[in-house]
Amino acid sequence: MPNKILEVKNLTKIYKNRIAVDDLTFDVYEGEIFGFLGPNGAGKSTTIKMITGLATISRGDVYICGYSIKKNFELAIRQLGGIIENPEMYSYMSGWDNLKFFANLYTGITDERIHEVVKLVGLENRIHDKFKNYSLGMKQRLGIAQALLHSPKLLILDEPTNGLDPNGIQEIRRFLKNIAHTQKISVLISSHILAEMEQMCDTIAIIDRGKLIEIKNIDQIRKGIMGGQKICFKVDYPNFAGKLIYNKYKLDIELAGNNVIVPCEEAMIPSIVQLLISNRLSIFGINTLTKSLEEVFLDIIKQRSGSITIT
Amino acid sequence: MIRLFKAELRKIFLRPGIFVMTALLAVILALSYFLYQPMTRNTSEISIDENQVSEIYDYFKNGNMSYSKADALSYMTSTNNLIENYRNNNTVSNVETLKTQVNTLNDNIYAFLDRVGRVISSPTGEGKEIAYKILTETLKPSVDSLVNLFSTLIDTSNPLILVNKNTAENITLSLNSINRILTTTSEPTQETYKNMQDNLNLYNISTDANKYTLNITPDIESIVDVKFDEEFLNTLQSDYYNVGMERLAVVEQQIDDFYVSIGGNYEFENSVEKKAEINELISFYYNTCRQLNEIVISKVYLKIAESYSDYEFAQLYGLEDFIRYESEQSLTRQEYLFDHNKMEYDYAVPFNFTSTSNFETNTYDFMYFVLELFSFIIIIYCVVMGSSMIAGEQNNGTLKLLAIRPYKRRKIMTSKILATMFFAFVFTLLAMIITFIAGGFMFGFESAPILCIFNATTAFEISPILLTLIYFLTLLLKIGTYILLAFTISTIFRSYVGAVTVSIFCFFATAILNLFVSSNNIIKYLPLNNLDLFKYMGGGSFTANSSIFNIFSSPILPDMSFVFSLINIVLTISILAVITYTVFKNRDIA
Repeated sequence: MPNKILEVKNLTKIYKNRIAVDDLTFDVYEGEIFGFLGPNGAGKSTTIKMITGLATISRGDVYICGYSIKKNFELAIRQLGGIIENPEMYSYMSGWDNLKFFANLYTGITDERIHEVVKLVGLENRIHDKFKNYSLGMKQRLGIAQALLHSPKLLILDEPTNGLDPNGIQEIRRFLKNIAHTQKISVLISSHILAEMEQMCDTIAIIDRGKLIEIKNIDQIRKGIMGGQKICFKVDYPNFAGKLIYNKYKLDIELAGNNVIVPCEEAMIPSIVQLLISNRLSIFGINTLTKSLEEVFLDIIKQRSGSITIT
Repeated sequence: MIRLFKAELRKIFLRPGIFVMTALLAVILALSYFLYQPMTRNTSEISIDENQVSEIYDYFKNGNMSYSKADALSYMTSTNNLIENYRNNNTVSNVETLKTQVNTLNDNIYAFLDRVGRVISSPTGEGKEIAYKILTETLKPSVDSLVNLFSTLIDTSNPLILVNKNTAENITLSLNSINRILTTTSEPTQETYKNMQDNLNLYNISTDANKYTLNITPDIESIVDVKFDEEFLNTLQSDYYNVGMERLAVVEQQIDDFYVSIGGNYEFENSVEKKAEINELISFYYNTCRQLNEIVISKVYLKIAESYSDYEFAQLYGLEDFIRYESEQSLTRQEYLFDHNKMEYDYAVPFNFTSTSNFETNTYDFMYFVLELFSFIIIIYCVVMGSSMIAGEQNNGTLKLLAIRPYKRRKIMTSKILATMFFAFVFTLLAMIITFIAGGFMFGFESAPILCIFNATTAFEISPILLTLIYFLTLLLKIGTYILLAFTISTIFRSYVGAVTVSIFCFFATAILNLFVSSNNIIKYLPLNNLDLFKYMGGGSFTANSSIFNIFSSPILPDMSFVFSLINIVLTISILAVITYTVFKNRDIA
């Protein structure tokens, strides 16, 4: 049973006349990439700010490796590293000086460790340039470097791929997957770039208007929360194939051109194939249809509010 | 938290602005050499050296111009007269005399009114001559003597009564009006005797005079006699006047002996050393008389002021310019000198803006001047820096990265404040050392020991280096408080520019209030007026509006003392700290 690195319990944030985050509860396990999803204004950033101690907590608590943010701030935060929104550092200092500044705030971070982290994010060549001369991608990388310096158990990233080119985005993705699965560092990412989240996360939490709507493992989402998995068979005589399957299995068939779409598990594919072939049908292709995260997401939002709220 | 402090410090010293600071320091040092035009301190030391020694001796013994024995003794006489006057004053009541005279005048006017009434009512105007006679021979002179009495009593060189300045004004005006009224009567002629108008005039004159006299009567109730207990006056006589006279006798003997030792020897007559010797003795003689006179006068005033607060005292006629602190300070100084048989010119005074501390400029005065200028600059720089460390970092996003480190908010704030203060300390120390050395080569390191009068009541001698150290500490306290203020404002205002503006506004607001608000009771509480603790060491400029710096930090106002200012500072710092830490702790960052 993996450890719980982050426990959020009944987390609530109340501003003067509105509730921005309402009674949020979830856990993040060791080595897990946890995605935080939601439309703009849902409360993602506010939640992350409360977890990192940037914003005060109105109700509830946050535990990092068992330490409470409210009662044991210093011990809790020690386990955490993060980049919140744009990664800004001291522009008149070099990348190295910036990292050295942060390193000096902890005990036991040697120059070797700094070099290690610099190498990890691939900034060896430019590390002694002044921060103000860095490109956005380099700033992001330096941001990740400062977040990892002190070997935290939890990495928090708020919109980390903002402004990166596709190459950069892919690099970040591979990098995060690597540190999560090999170094067992948990990662909490908040984003609204669904395609990326889909490819990266192990678990996804969906938030809207301050409330937690769904938490699901990624496979579960892909397999379709909203109506199960579907298999698509491309055949020569779709109508006939459809009737055959319906008669035998009593499943609702959809037809789309030459495609017969059957709502069933993967395990049933061999028997369906057997059925079709024994009836002298030709099969040109078999696909597992999954709903994209985007579709699922929009479905959920639509269901909750009846329409998409644009904020 | 030391790690955090060191990290913040390193950040400060990596700023590009550090070069600006260093450049400014150099510029100020260079400029100040040209700006520095100190007024040399005046000496009361006597040095007559055009004449031969015998001539100087003769002039002293027998002359009556400045610095002669006669001139010096006139101070002693005046001191003795002062004591005697107050002794006499103890046996009479001037207020009663005043009251009696006013009442008599009143009665006389009534009587006169009565007579005029009879004259008017008689068909032949009988008795007019008598009426006029009374007017010119009784009433008029009695008013004159009343006017004289009053002005004698309120003579400020030795006030015999204490009267509120408004009351004094009223009484004087009233008396003058009566005088005027009684004088406007022209000499009556034969014809006018017959004229009814005259009678009415006389009647009007006296009614008016009566009105004025009646106005004075309640005012007089508030006047107070100046009385001293016998013991006080006896002390003045025995411990000061008599002791002084004895000392003078000794010095005069020394002068006589010295003259005998010259013995008409020509060589000695013109020798520079011998002239210096006799001058020193004469100087001592003359200044002892002066000292005594000042001591006794100060003691008298302070004794009167004992029963009043500074505010009340300022309402009294003729005494509005008396500043208790200044008077006490001067008295402490004179008494110390008198007790130790020393003169003003044996010591230096603490650094200030009105004059040099010695009789020539030296590096200490120069250093004081430069540091006062420099502190202004460094305060502004630290204000800007403090604002950027909180509001600036909040806006550009770097505060976020600092806040997610394992340090409580208050540690973050403390490390920033301390780092800024440390920076100010280093730069001020640097400025002080450089200025000291440079000034030493330009003006010299020499200085007499300094006589400090701390908080007006404690006198002590101190070396200039030690005084410099004390000054440095008070300067740090001042700068530190401004830094804390800047951090407080920066924490409250999220805008970097806003924070800087408000900080500088506070600084100038104090100056404006100092210039335009005349009620000292309010101004003395302003925190920024209490920040300069060095003014309680007894330097010259702090009780007079003699320099532009006094509008940025007021001189010592009535009812201010070292303890008052210290409490003010401690309160200010506490309140600022509480505000800063509370707001910062509960603030959502970005």
